[in-house]
Amino acid sequence: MIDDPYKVLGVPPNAGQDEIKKAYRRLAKQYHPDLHPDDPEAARKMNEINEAYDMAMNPEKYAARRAQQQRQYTGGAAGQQSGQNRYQGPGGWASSDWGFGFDDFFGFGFGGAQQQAAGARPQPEPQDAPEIRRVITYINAGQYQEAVYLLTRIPSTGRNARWYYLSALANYGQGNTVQAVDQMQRAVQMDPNNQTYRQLLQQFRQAGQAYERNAQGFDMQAMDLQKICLGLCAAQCCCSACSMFGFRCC
Amino acid sequence: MKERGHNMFGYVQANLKDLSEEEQARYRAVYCGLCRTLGRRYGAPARMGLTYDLTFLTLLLGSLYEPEEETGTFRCLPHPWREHEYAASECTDYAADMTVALVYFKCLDDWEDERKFSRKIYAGWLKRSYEKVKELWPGKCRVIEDQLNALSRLENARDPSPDAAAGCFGKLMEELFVYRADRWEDRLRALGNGLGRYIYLADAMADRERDRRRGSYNPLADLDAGPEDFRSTLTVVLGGASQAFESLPLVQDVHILRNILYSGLWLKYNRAVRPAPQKEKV
Repeated sequence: MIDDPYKVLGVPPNAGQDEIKKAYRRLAKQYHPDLHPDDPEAARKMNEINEAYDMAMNPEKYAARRAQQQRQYTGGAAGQQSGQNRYQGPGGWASSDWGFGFDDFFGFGFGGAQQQAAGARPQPEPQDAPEIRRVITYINAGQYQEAVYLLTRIPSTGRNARWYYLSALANYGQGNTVQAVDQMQRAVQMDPNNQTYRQLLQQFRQAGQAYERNAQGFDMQAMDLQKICLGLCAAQCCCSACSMFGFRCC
Repeated sequence: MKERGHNMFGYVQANLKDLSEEEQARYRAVYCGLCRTLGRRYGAPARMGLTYDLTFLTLLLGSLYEPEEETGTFRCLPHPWREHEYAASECTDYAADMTVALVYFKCLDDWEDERKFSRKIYAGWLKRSYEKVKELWPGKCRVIEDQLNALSRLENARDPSPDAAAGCFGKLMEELFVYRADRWEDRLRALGNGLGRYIYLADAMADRERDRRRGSYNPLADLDAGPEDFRSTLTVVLGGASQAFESLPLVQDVHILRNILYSGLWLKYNRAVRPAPQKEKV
């Protein structure tokens, strides 16, 4: 692992993301393997630049990862969570490497136990039926598909706020975002005084907040559709030909 | 795409109003470049498949890889009286290939659903072009076909899970977004997957009222939330995609790309779910 990504990229330590990206592009143009085929030095330098880019773009994650690696080498608890049930996100990619990840939510990520949302690891309660206890075990083991299956077998008469809360967690783990959010909302509606449910709904929405933060300065409420072709010409024969075939290219 | 007969393309477009004149010209040049490449590579019928969505992909991949660009002006068949500026690169070639695959399957689909004869003819025209694309990109074509079939099965079975169907479209889009197997693949997949799921879900919500009236299947039929509340769910779906996008080292055209992702993406949805002032409230 390189020590100073900012030095490698040639930017100050407080450089913003846009500056880091520009620096990366400048260096990549110099050292790209396509420009230096069979040159091991250029390849090594390119790896360094790539690593520096990832580190500079995610300073907290890399500090945490370095710390976790050290813990794993010394046999710490963080190493125990096995990879097989690690939630990877829809489509199979692991999003935790560069930004918001489901891993953070369920505490498998680099922050470990500290980042875990209270309630994300459900605990059995005295009144829980046996099926519910099994569901809780599955969720905590990361076996979301099994949990979802068991939950769907409980008839609607047995679906209380707790059922919706557990179902939301299981669905979220599986990547069923729409259902997870909808179900956690229902749990909150059915048990408005439950702070855990409210907090989890908030956590679910964090990804949405990340989107909205990135969207600042852009108008998400815009409604004016402007045809790209119209800007160039008055006639719309292309568009009418397209509409004959039902394709809306404009 | 069987029962619902919807046009899911066109969500990923720019909000032209908020782009500078130079940016609008650039966006048009890339759009025209894609149109021109489609015509040159696959003949005139292929140009009917031109979409804003694949224009976005061209811009995105162009920004990531900064390939050599060919620029110039040309006269296109539908607008022969004015010279149009165009810009094209190897990324445009790729987007053209993917366009053909998508429009070919859409034609087949529409012929299956609605028995529109024009589609049958059109699919016939495109078949040879599609065969060429399949030779260039066999893996991708297989994924497109598989996911569209899976989506059809879910819709025909009236599967109540919106996420399952959205997931198919997500997998399809993520495959399109990966131009090369390199270190950006995961991020491009995350971006493509999120956009694919957004498109499917936004489209389902936009059609929900109409489907309800017609008794057609809609995967969001059982959802409590209305279109305005659903917005926050849609932003959750886009969260990972957005983070992945921002993690890419994009400099060229980045304002246009952000305009599309954070503003233009909502144009179609806003128009569909907000009642126009003249409409009577039912």
